[in-house]
Amino acid sequence: MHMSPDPKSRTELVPGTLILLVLRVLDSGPLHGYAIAQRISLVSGDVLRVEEGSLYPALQKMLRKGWVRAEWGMSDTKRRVRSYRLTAAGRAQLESERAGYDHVNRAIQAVLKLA
Amino acid sequence: MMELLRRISYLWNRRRLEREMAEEMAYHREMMSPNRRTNFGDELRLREDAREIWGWTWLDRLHQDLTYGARVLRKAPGFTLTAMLVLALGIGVPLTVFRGVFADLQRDSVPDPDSLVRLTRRTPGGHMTDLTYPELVFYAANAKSFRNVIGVSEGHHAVFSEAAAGGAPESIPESINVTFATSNYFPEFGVAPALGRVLTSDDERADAEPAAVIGELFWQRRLGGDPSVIGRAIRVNGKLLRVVGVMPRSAKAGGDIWMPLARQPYVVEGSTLLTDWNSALELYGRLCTGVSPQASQQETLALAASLRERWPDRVWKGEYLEARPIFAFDSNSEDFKIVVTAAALVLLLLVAACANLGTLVLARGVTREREIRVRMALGAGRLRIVRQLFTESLLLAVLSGLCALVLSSVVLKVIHLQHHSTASVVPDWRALAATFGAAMLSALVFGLPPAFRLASLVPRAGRARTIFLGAQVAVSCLLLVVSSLLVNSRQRLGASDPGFDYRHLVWISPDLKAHGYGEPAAQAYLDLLRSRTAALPGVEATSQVWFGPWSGFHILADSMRRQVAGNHVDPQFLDTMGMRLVRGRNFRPGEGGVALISEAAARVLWPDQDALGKLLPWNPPGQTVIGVVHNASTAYVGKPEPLEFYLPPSPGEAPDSVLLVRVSGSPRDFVRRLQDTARGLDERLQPTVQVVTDTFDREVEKASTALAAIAILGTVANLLSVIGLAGLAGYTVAQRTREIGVRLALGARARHIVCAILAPMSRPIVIGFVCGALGGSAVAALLRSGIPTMSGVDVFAPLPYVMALAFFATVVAFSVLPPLRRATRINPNQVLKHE
Repeated sequence: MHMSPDPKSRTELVPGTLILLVLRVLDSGPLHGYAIAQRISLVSGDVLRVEEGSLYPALQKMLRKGWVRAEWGMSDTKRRVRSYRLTAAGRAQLESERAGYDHVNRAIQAVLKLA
Repeated sequence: MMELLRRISYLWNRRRLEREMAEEMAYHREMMSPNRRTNFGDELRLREDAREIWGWTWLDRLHQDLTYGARVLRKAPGFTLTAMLVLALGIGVPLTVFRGVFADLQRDSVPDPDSLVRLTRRTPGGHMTDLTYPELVFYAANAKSFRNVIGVSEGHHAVFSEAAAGGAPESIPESINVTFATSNYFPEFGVAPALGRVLTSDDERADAEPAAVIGELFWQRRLGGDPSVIGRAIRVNGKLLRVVGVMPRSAKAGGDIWMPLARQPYVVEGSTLLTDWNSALELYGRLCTGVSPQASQQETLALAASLRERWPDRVWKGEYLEARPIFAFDSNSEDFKIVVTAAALVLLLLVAACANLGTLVLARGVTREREIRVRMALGAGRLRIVRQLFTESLLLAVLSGLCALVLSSVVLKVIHLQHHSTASVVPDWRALAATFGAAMLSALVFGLPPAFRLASLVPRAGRARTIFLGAQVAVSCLLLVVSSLLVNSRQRLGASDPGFDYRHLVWISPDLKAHGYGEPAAQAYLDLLRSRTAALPGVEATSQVWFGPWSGFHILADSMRRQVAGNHVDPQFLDTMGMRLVRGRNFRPGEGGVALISEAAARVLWPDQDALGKLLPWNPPGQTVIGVVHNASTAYVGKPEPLEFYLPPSPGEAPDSVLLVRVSGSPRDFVRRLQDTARGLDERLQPTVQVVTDTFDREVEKASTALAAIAILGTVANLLSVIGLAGLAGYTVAQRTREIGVRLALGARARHIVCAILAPMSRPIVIGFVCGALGGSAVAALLRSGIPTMSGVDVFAPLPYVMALAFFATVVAFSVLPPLRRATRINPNQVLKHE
């Protein structure tokens, strides 16, 4: 994971969460690469910024794993773009990663409260 | 699994997918605000990161490395050709040997060889390889472990002639070998006829027309390879047989003519093979599915016990049939040790080649340091450099492996042509696997240490070079010392005195047992033959013995872990053989319970005492030693210290005794006359006459062949040494040209220069030589213990070592001389100006 360009306003993504975020974003419908990055930063209130250098390797990995399928389409600006659609395997992966993340998160919260 | 498919499909559509990704990323960049665009980073780098996910980048690197490696090799043709020559020899020679041996071992495509076992008689204390026909019948009928019991009897001497047909006269009779086998031999050993058909169970019936299958080689040599031979009538021992097929030459068992075992009495008149307990058959068993050899041994133990109730004197107590898969090696046997030793010697050549290349690659690496520095300065990682250099070595090794394959195929083809074999020389998967395995392994050995050294992962090349050079010298010297020791023993064998007058001896074996002679009839026949033979002009002495000298048969007794060979002989034996008594006396006619022993045996058995009057320590009650004879090696050819004993004839052995004859003049002139004499007494016999010097010559030739093989290996290893040392010295000179120039300019003499170049090489050479000499004597000692004709090898004789040392010194001198000359002729002015 790369450092965000502006350390004051951006937070580094917790390692391993990028794929989870991308999966979640794609769960609401197919998007192209740029739109994925935009959506994540928009929804997070511009706190989370996806580095382009990490996004495309992550997307390639998801393609390799068969969690997403890529198809070419037209963007709003009438440009040829490749959008990514979640597959059934991707949806299953989202569920399991989400559960795993919640689990760890709860554990971290518990430690923070008590320790 | 699906993931792998996706990855492969990515690889397949790589160009398109990578273009698409580039397009996608370009779009992303366009959409971003201009001030952030600079943060996108190096576009190429990003694309590469994304590509890496698919795990195919190693392929790109490999391709890169291979292209680069090929270019490097092409640019240094001298090095490349030398290296390929070295490695092609190093891989090719062992490969050829192993392919040859395997082709020999696997000539038959035996179906399911693991369940085909050789059956031999065994008790806890005894072992006998042959069985009899009644036993074959008994086990075939009663043993449930075996689906089939197969009997084969090879090497029966017979007389062949073509039967008169269509007015053509009968051909002149000629001596041939007949093999008798049960008809199940053919399917179980996977023998398909080259022509016609093989023998079937119908041919075994007593009322069937006698049928024969002829060997392919005999068919071509004697019958001109005429396909119309099928159905033709031939005569064996004068009996008519119908040819039904041609046996392929690839069959493991040889023989000019094959016949059903059950019909043996038809061609061997008077034979009692099918009923008596004296025949000698090789027995094989096809195990039923799921039955292990051990389980079959349990069953035969019980069966043999029941057989013993009927034949108490024929079957041993506690006897069973040992079942050993036909391709299994007995790892305890002397033969196995010899095979392993031979394989190791052959593989040493590969070791030598690797070590050799290692020195070359190391030496060459010095000249490539600059290139590597530049690449590292441009950002190449150390591992990347190692990988690149190793790929280069691998490429070299694989190319050499291909050359080795071609080389071995050509050599095998030449050998096959000489033996009129039509076997295919196209390498099979085993040969391919062995070649590439050897190539990989050698690339690891000769390629990795220099690569690590060059990438500065290991600081100095000193140790690797010492090891490489030492190993190469050791192998060359080992083979030299072994050849030298064997040459020495071979010379002794040629000049040796076996202790008896073998040049004037023949023995005649009428094979009375095969023709059904009983004891009194056989003795009467032999007495008559003896008196007739003695009356022939030129015959000087005759003796009746159980086994002819060097016949390959003898009694073996174990005493104190030494094997003593024995024979039954009559009182005329010593006189006929030209042996003499040293102490004591000879047998008297009809005497029993006494023995003669050789001087060597006397020394071994009773080291500090007089052997006379002692009892032989085996087969109690033991015979009394009444005489000690001058050493004579009558059982094996070429034993300098023969451990032998001789017993008087015992009743019952006359039917398979032979008559030993000493003649004046050439023994070969007597062969025909003796044969005629023997047949004159009984027309049915097919007597064999063996000239003893022929055996001697054959054994000497065998020893010479083995010696030649080792000498060839030694020559190749030394050739490799020449190449390696010359290369090493050449590189050393090239690399130190400047230094030498300075030294010369400062007044150094040629002597100093030579010393400076040779100094770092001398230690590994000396160490290598010592190791090689020690290894060589160990190998020679192993060969000596396993091969009788090599038992004259004296590993402590200094001469062979001196010879090897001298030869090797010449090799070293020869190989380093040209580079050294170049070194001493360096012109300091030129070299320094060049600087």
